[in-house]
Amino acid sequence: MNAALETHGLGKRYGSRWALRDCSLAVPEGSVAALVGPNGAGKTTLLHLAVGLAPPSAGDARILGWSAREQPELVLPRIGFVAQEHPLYRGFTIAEMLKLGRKLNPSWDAALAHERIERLGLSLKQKAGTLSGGQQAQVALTLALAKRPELLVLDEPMAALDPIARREFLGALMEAVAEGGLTVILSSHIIADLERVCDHLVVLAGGAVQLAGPLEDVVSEHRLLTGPRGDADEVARVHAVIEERHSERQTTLLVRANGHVYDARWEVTPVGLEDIVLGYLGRR
Amino acid sequence: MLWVGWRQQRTEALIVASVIALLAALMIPTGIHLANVYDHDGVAACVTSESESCNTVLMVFQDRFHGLTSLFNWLQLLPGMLGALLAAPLVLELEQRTYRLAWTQSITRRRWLATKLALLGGAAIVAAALLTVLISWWRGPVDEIEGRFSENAFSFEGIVPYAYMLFAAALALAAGVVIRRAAPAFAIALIGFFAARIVVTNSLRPHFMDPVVKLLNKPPSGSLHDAWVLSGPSLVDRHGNPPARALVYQCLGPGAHVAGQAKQVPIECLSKLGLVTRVEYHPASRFWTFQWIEAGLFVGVSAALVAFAAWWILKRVN
Amino acid sequence: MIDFHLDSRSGVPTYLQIVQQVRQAIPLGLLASGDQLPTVKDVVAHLAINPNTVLKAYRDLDHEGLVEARRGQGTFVSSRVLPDPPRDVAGLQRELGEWVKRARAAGVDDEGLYALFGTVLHRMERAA
Repeated sequence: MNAALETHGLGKRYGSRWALRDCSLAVPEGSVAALVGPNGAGKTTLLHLAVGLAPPSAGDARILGWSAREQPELVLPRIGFVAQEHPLYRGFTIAEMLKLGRKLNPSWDAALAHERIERLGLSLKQKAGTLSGGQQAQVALTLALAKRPELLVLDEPMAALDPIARREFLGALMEAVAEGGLTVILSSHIIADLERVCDHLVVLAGGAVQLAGPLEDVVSEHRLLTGPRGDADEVARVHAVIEERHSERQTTLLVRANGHVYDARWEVTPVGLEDIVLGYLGRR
Repeated sequence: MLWVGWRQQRTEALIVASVIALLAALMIPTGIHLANVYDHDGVAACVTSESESCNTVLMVFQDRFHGLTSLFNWLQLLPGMLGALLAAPLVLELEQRTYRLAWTQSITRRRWLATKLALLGGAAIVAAALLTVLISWWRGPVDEIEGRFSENAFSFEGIVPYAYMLFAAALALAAGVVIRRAAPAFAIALIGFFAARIVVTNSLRPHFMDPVVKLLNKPPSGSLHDAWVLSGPSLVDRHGNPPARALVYQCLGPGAHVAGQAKQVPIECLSKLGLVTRVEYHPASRFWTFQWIEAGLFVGVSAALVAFAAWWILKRVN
Repeated sequence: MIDFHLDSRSGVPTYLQIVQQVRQAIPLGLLASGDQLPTVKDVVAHLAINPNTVLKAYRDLDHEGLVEARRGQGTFVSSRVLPDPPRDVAGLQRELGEWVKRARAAGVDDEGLYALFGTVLHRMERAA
């Protein structure tokens, strides 16, 4: 299977500060990948490097095999990008935004765009600046989807949306995925939303990749070990201890299991995605 | 992309067009009136004559429209404002960070920039053309009398207005690209435009070529009426120095000043004392040479500013 | 047409919830032989879940023989499934409703109702 997005040692430096460092990952084609991490983790930087908005300071990023920075004519028509806060031209009407899409993109599906706008209950004559946050996000998504991209990249698309708008946005997104031939990468710092839709996970913190892989594997490989207060050395010899917490009488370990956990001292339970991610974020 | 670029520029272009239209609405009636008076009150015939009565006619004419012609002083900043305004959409793209949308469609950053710059340049040239045609037409009669080198003529006619407007746009663009705020960029461009115009007009333009220096036996006739007189006519002795006061009092009476009164001094008295009139000027025929030099100056700087802005946008905007 | 719903807090995997809802719908008569299941597109648009989840559920149901996928047309309730709804569903629901009323009057809350039912069912299964 090819990688929709592949990075090797990707890094970006602003002055003396590395916003992203030694980032290597591969998002398989056809997956819906979640890029999670706290604010300032480098998510936006990573996505901007991927779509060619910024040049890397180290390493490279390839989309469908090409570099967006060096071969924009090959990459840009194949991707859809919605930046943070879903920018639109506020003085443009929705009709004019669609016209912009048509003028600037050779593979523009005008019928799809109009059909989506109609289904959203929006009038083409409305100015983009007068739309609500949820509506703007949907219009921005429409612009990206009408390009018929192979890869859709969304930077915190639901940050400013209320729960209903979030659900509708994700529903629209999944509908597009169901039609086939689309890989999605979306970044967020809210994990609960992503659990429903994503099948690939990348955890980013402090400018570095902490964890990456298929969601199913991630969840099945991690375990929570609880037992009487003690040290984790024996466990650590076989499995990767991600996080350990000690209270007065109890020790809790978050472990990435290397096979079955045979130690009778520990009670082994599965771990939810949110707790796994928090475990990785906490260990920086 | 042409449609997109135009649509983004539409508001500013309409504002500029409205300002010019307003100006035209104000100037066309007065311009027609001015031309009428010039043609029918015998002013036209008097321009090349040297008779006293004609001098009076000309002075009366100039006086009558002085109020209007002096308004041109206020128009000097207009090309600066309009040019800087036209650059606003490009700067707003950076301020509002909508470039994240524009540069991830299917068009390359280079082509996007080239189109936007072409539209900006085109709009500036069209606006400058409209202004130049309007003002040149209006000033026709006045220019016959005063020449096209006068400050309120030179800056509004020929080709320099195009260069001024391009310069203002380029300055606003360069400032805007660095600070990424449209309003401060506009202010910086306006101030820069004002400063540059003042420096060029007062310190550089007089020296584009060496001025012609003439020593005349009598005060200059009307033949210099359309030249750009830098100094004089003043009284000097045969060596070019200002005359001793005692000499002057002989002709003019005690307590008289030297400069500016060459016209009233009896000619016989002048030549008896060995005094001549000195004039330093650029003849009217140099108008177009000076236009090309000044336009070239501003266009050259504009090109450098645009190149800088383009480099910044292509390489440094993250 | 059945309308799926999701209980994200139940701990049951999403695909399994869909499978269970189809399984339960057939004997209850909500889905009959030849009825079309909602398209994957419609399900994910409504529930906002990954299409693979729905595909997996439908595939499992296909393997169980409860549904069959017809290429280009969609997924349909298998013709081999005999609907045979339980008799007197209405009567059963009515009696259950009365039991619920009695239990509530005795001071049992919703959680207790589930626990009661589960305990009895479990006990009966063990005795059987």
